[in-house]
This record gives sequence, C-alpha cells and structure tokens, in this order.
Amino acid sequence: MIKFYHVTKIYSGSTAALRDVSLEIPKGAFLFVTGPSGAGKSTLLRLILGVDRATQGQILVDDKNLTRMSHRQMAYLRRRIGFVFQDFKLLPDRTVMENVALALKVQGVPPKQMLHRAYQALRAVGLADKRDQKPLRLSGGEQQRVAIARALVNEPFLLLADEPTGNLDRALSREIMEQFLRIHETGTTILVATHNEGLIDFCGKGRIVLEKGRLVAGP
Amino acid sequence: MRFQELRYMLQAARENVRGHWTFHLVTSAAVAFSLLLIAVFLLILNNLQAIAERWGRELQITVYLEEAMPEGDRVGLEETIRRWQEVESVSYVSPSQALEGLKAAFGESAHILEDLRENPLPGSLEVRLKKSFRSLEAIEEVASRCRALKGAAEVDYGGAWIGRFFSLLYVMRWVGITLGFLLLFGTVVVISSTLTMGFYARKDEIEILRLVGATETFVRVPFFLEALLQGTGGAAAAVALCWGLYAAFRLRLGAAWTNFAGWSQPVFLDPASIVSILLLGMALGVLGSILTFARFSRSSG
Repeated sequence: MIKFYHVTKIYSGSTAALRDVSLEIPKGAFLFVTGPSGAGKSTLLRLILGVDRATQGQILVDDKNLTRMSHRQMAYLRRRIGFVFQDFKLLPDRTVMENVALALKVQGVPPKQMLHRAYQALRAVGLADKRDQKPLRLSGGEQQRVAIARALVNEPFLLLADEPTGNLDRALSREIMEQFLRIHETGTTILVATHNEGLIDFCGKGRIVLEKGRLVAGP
Repeated sequence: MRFQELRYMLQAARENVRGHWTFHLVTSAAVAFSLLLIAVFLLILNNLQAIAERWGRELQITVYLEEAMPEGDRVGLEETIRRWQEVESVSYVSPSQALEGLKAAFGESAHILEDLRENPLPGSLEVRLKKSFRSLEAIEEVASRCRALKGAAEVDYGGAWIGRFFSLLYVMRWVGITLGFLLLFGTVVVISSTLTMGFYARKDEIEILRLVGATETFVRVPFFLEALLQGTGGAAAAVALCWGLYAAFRLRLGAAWTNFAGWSQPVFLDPASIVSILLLGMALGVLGSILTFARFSRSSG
C-alpha cells in the first residue's frame, strides 16, 4: 500500500526533516505516527499526500511511484486520499456543505450528485443539520467532523490525519477517534500523526515512531 | 477538461471578482489609464498623419525653366522626368498660364499686374509624385535630380516647414512607441501585483483546493479569466474615455482644428485601432497572470 525506500527530506535552508526512512504500511492498517515535536511526523504525511517531494529515495502509494508523478497525476491521486489537519483547513466564507462539496467540485461532479454526496458525508459524521452554517459558528469538534466529512466524501482508500485532535479537549478527541475507528472498519487505511499517548492507548493500534527524522520503530 | 469543471472555474472567477471587486476595480482603472494615454497619443498621431497625407497629396515639385528654352528641349525634359519611377504626372505651365494663375490668386488686386510691360514669369513643369513616394526623402531626392537637369533654372517644393512637419511626425511616432512600451510594462506590473495580492488573500483556499485534488488548471484558470477581464474591461474603459475626450475636443476646438488642418473635422480612432487596443488589454491581462504565476510559484516553492 505505502512503501518508503531510503527516503530523506531536506527543506531548503534547514536540517533533514526525514533521514533515510524505509517502511511499509499494509493495506487496511490503522497506525499512529508518533514522536516528539520536530521528529518528522507531519513531513511523513505530507510526503505521502504529495504536498512535498522527497529529496532522496522513492515513495510508492497504491503501487504508484510518487517521485515520478506529474502534478496532474498527483492531483488525481489526492482525490483518493482523505486528509484531516489540526487547523481543520475549512474555508470560513463557505457553508459547511460547500466546504465538503469542494472536494467533489474540483473533479467536476455535477451539482445534483455533488450535493447528494456531500449531504451523505455530513450525515455520516452527524452534521447534516448544520450544513448551511459557516464553519466558524461550529465548535472545534464539529469543525473537525466537517473536515472528516470532506475527507470521506470521495470514499478514500487512505485517510491521513495530522494532529487531528490538537485543538480539541479530551472528550471531543475521543469522539473524533471513534469516528476514525468506524471509518477503518470500512477498510480504509488510516495514518494518524499525534504525540498524544492517551489517544494511542485509547485506540489500541500500532505505531510508527520517529525521532529527529529517523525511524525508531516501524509497523 | 470536462464541461462541468469549466463551469465551476467560471463560477469561481465570478465569485472571486465579486468578492474582491475593489482589487479588480483598481487594476482595471490602472489598465484604463495606461491604455487611455496610448489611445490619446494614437488619436493625435492619426489626425496629424491624416493632415500629412492630405498635404502630401497637394505637394508638388515646381521646376522653373530657363528663359527662351526651345520647345523640343522642354518636351525632352518633360519626358525624362516622366520616366522616373516616383513620378505620377508632369504638366507644363507656360509663362502666360502662370501669369493668369497669378492674376486669379490676386483676385480683386489683380489690376496691379496690368501695368507690366512684359510677362516676368518663367515657364515651369509641375511634377506630382505617386502616393507611395510622397515622403520628404522622396521629394528631396526627386527635387535634387531635377536641379541637375539641363534647362532647370530653379526647383521648389513647398518650403522647409513641410520638412519640419514630417520630422515632427517621425519624432512623435518614436516617442509614442517608447512611451507605449513603458506604459505597457507598468500596466503588466500593476496587473501582476494585484493578482499576487489576490493570490495571497486566497492562499488558504488555493492550498485547500490543491489538497483535495484540484489540478493546476482548475486553480489557475479563474485567475487567468479574472486577469483577462481586468485587461479587457480596462481597455474598453480607455476607448470609451478616449471617445469622451475626442467628443469634448470636437465640440470646443473643432473649428480651430478645421482652420489649422483645412479639414472638415478631427477623426476618431479607426476600427482597427480600437480592436488593437482591446486586444492589447487582453494581452496585458494574460501577460500579467503569467508573471503572477511565475512569481507565486517562486515564492511558494
């Protein structure tokens, strides 16, 4: 499913964020990416999502080599990968429904079908009744659920979450994790970057441990 | 690209214009101002060119002949000049015809000429040039050749002021080209800067679009369309403003112009010039957006 071969990532003007990382994540896995701040957790997810490109090494996602993909091919791959970030990444001037529908809009899905699918995704996270509201009128947990709905609307084979509960309290964090566990049951591979040990214990799933850009413990 | 995608891109461009209309208005105004200066300059140049053409049509070289020139020599001289490629026609004006012409020009004062015991005017040849040779250089060249002919006493072609007028047109044309380039460069920078501001204002949106799988085409086309709209809108406004200035000029100074030019009225830009200005506006928009993407890619990459 996901394979890293000696991957190094160096951002311009800084030290290596990832150093010679090799790992393999099987299809249908639910794994946490952990480690202290600056360990390279976010970089790992950004490389899988194709937001950043590896400085060295090869990355395969769904048997496709990311290092050889064009921008267009990368965009098409991202349509099949859901993502959830700590800061939600919602557009404040659009409604909840429009935010979720955006992921379909970029693919040119016809309006009727787009609205239907966005509604179904919102219903799955229990926010169908808030579809006409602007994100800033919702609580942090609700905003993150909108982001999850947007990630799910394309029925992704892979869901990436970078500190998805970083801005949420303990109860809401558990609620979000329960949501992820339900998504995982449908066969979606899930990678969650977090340094919250409590959440990892709560879910009882495996982990990838990074320290100063190096892989300390793998799946 | 699917039709639905294109529809969404158009929709995005429309929403962006509506959401950031002040940006767009400022940019369109800057485009309009730059193109207005160019349009006004073009208008002035076109009108001066029209005067030059009219004067050029009336322009002729007069070759005064030596006294008592035998008729055979004069006909030979006419034939020689007529064979030159620049020459459209050569006509002989006899001394008596010249005197009649002078009397006619004097009008009511013609009686002054009654006392002349003999006709002091020489015979002359009036040489008209073909349209394509009605330039100062060609006139001077033909006049100098006429001067070298045996039997030509003196050659005249309208005076030095025509030369100065042609020189003025030449200088204006080059000033126009230089000024035009500077203005166009400035306009491209203004468009590009506004689009860059728009880019940064919508940085989060662009990031999210890319994350959810938008192609670069989907991200860029709305910006491209906005720039095209800014350029075209600015150009249309420039043409409209230029027409306003032209109408005001005609109303206030039309009569003075007629006296100066011997022309009915000043003329507005021809359709080709108007279309050129509109196309120029579009091109500026496109160029501005290309520069913006290049700049944005550098700054975000």
